[in-house]
Amino acid sequence: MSPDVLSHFLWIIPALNLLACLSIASLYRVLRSSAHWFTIATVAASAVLSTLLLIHLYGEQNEAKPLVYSLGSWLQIGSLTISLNLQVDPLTAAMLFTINFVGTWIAVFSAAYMDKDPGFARYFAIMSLFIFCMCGLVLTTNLVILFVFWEGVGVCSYLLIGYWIYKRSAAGAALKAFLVTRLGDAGFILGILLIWFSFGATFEYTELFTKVSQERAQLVRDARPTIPVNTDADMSESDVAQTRLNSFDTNLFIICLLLLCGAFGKSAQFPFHVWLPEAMEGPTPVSALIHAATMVTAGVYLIARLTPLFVLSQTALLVVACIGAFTALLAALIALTQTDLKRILAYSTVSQLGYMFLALGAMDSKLGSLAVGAALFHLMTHAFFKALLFLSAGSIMHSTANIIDIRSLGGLRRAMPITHIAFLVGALCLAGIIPFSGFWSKDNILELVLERADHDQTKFAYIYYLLFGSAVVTAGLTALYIARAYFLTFWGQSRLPHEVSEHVHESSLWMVVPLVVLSLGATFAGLFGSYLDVFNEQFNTLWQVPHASPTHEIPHAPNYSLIISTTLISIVAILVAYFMFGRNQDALTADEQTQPGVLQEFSYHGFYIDAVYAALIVLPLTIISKTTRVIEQTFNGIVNILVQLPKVISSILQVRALHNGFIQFYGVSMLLGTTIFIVFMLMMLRMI
Amino acid sequence: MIPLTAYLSVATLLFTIGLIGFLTRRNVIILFLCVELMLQGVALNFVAFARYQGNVTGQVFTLMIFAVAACESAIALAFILLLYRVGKSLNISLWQSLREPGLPAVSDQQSEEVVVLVDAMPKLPRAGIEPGFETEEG
Repeated sequence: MSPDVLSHFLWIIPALNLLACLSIASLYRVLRSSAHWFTIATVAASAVLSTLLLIHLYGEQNEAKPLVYSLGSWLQIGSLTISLNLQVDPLTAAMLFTINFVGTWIAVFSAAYMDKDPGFARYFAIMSLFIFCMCGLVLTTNLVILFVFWEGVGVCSYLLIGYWIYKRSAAGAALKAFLVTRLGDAGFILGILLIWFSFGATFEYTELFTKVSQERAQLVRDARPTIPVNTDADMSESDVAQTRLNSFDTNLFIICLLLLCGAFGKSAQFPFHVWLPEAMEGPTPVSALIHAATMVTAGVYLIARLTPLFVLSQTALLVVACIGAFTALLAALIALTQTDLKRILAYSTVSQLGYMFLALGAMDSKLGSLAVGAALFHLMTHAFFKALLFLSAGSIMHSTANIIDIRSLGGLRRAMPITHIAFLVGALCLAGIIPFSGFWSKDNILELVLERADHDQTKFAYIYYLLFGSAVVTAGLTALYIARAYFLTFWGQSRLPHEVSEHVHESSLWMVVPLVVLSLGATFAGLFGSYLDVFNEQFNTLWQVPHASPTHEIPHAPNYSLIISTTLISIVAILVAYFMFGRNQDALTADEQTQPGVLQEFSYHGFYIDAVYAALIVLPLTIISKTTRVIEQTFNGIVNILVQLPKVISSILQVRALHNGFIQFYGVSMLLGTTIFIVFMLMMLRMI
Repeated sequence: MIPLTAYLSVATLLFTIGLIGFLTRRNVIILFLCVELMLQGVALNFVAFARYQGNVTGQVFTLMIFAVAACESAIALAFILLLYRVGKSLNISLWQSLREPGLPAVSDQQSEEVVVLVDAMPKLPRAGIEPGFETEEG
């Protein structure tokens, strides 16, 4: 298809989803239980269009130029122009495909899952709005518009987490998610403002990247004296330039850090990760769509998109890598002891996002496109297998009347064979077993980090080795916790209450088909991506900036010893899980009665990070608000006493009867009063 | 030249008519017109004194009064219309609910015929029809 036709898809894709949202919202009363057709039809159409875009951008051997479509400008104030340009390059195309393809199957699944729910139409309206916002977020070429959609995504997330508004816990979780991500977004908007302050009104990506790298190159040139330095004057001049370069770098570091706040908030990285597990209060397909496959990846997308900016600040990248690896390890440790299946999956999402950030943090001017490629590859495979895992969990919940505690499940593999297979595929992907997709992408990241550590000349090399070690440990833990969840859910004897276990059945076709499709996707996506090696080559288009362009010096050969060792670690972890949880679950249930260890308690409560936040932030605020309430009530009491005063006086003087509500009586009173006043005044004047 | 006292007596007359009307009539619209009458009496005072002293301040202030009176009449007529929609009557004695709790309402037993007369005031006729005296309400 010609690029001219394809470039129209850029506005059609978001427009379709917005159309579905608006038509469901306006026909809310009429539609009721057939609203899902709008969402499914539009998302499916968007998925087809995105696939065509993907094929166009990845299919051609020569680097396809990004497709651009301009919708004019949104706002123009003085030198500030915010344009409404849409652009698809390989990064955006991959995101669009993931969002719409996974979204389609989740919409199909939701149609059965949300059946008979009173808010059926509302659910699908918000879901369409969410997909619209997400498409807009990846299509725009402008930081400000990106921020607008970024917030839109946050709002949709709030609405969907709190979808069952009558549930107190759901309302609380929605609020928590909104506030925590808002906290990150405050940093994001400050970052945007600082960009404005430092580099002028350049919010277009390419314009910004060019400007920043040119300014920096100029400063670098000034700082390096070209002629041998003889006099003190020259010396001081280059010193001044060096100082300016340093302050420029500091400024850039602060900008990157502020933008990172937004990314960490949205992608649930430490210290903002607390909202994601709570977000499981929403319907399960929502968890699959928003809190696993698409929305939380917005932070990863942001950094990938701003690669040319971040690559200039190695310190910021080190922060990204450290936070990513730390979050991955922390979340994996927490997931080990959780008993709620959805919470295990939520923490595993946090952990896998940590991997993506680790990959992005491992980029430098040489590994740039490789890092983005590895992060995005993992993002895509993760979207597939995590959506699959969540939908399997949803299928289980649908069948067991919302019982999702793995201590009460068990033995489901006979009752729900297809769900069992689907969950198994997802679990194997997550554990990183060859040839499932998770293996390829996770291995890619590990290799990348190792390479980064190997060729690092600076004093930070040992940090990258440490991060690599922690990532390998996390991989083992991942295999362990997901195998634990799998064995406890599907093996052994059913521990469900009697009246529920009789009714456990395989879900309907509407739910099974998405599971099968996503299983196939999760199985083969990795193989496909790895075979084509598309993700490593195509991201050169991100590097249109002259000074940040990478040189492909490093041959990307598979590191077999690494592959074998990580696979071994995963297999050992799964075997451990099998012997602990798979074989003899009766002993396990007896074991549950014993006192849990200190470490187990720590892990179960998420290392008490929530409690720390409650003590450090919530408690002081509560104390302040309670104090102000007491003060306010004191003043209120004083005023109330004053209010009683006229009443008391009037009852003493017996003048209440004067207040009879009859206007003309008031008129007479006024007349009399004025007359008396005037007469009195006249008498006073006469006396004087 | 007409002496100042002439103006002042006309103004006083206007004010007094308005005052008496305001205190005795029961039709809300009449009450409102009486208030306007009092206002114009005061305005006439202003103009007269301004002319007498050769000073425009009073005239300017009169213009202010006109502007305020126009706004006020717009609001007041809207209120009257709403009151009429609720009570189906223009009798002011119907609206006493803001009195102190426990007090009896002021009743208009003696002025019954006045009320009837007030209610029987000609409403705005449709064009071309001779205004008749309708006694039934609504």
